[in-house]
Amino acid sequence: MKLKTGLTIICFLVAVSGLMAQNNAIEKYFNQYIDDENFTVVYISPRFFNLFEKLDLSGMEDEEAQILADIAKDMKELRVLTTDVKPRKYYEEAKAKINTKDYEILMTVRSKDKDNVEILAKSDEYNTIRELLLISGSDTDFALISFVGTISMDKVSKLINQDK
Amino acid sequence: MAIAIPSFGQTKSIKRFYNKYKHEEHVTNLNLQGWVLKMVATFTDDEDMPKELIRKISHLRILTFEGGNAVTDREYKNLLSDIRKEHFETVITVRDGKEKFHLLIREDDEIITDAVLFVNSPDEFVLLSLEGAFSLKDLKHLNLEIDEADHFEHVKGAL
Repeated sequence: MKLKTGLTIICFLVAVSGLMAQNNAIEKYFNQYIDDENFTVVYISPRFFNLFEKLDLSGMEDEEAQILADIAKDMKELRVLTTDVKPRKYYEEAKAKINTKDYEILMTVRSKDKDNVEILAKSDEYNTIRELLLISGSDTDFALISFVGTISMDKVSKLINQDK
Repeated sequence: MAIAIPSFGQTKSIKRFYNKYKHEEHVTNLNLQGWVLKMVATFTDDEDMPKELIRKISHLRILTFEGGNAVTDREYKNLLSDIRKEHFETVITVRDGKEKFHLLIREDDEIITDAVLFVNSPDEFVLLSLEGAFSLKDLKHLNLEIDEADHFEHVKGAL
């Protein structure tokens, strides 16, 4: 019984550490270039998104803003990394360093000019997206965008329908 | 047994940095104690001024360099590192080439006690440091000239 409990705990810790390792891989890659002047970098921390947790959305008149705030309050972090200097090199590097096998591919676009866009997602057991990753590379630009949080596709659909 | 308790309201790194540069040429500096700001908030006729928010500021420092930036990258990096050691947390970081923007805050039980904003580029440097006691509810008094800023009206506060 103790052995079974111990093995269960070990398996859980390995699973959690695996998830954390992947998140750390993205964070590590991002931090590698945070001081590189060839890159444009944006980082929005959980502290910023905490603000939206405290918003009373029911009283908002602007429905689109209400939906956006509702999406934002479930977000934890946003990282954006872009460059127009040797973009293909950084695209290939990002693909090599970030293990995308743990992600589900939502969309892949590859044009005849070899411009690449990939949108990947990691979901939990309730099919709620916990992380969204966009990697794009072309002759002119490279971009890596990472959203961490609870991304509800219902809410995103509401926003898209609001725009129509 | 002695227990170390962090003492908030003391931003030694910012104070040290401010005092180093406040008398430099091409530097504009502003150092206001809370009572001055309270007086301004009390006697002003400007209805757009967020008086309730201003009354909660205990200290305001602004330091700007014009026509050049004497702060080296290393010094700026060290300053950010020292501020983080004083329990400040990053809210937003933006960097575009050589231009950098950082917003950091320090909280004590959901009350923001300190906020510091940096704009750092080759031609200018801005430091804005606030000390006080703000809840998120207080931000509803901030009439920001941005879209949707009026939604701060809906903030549920701890107070």
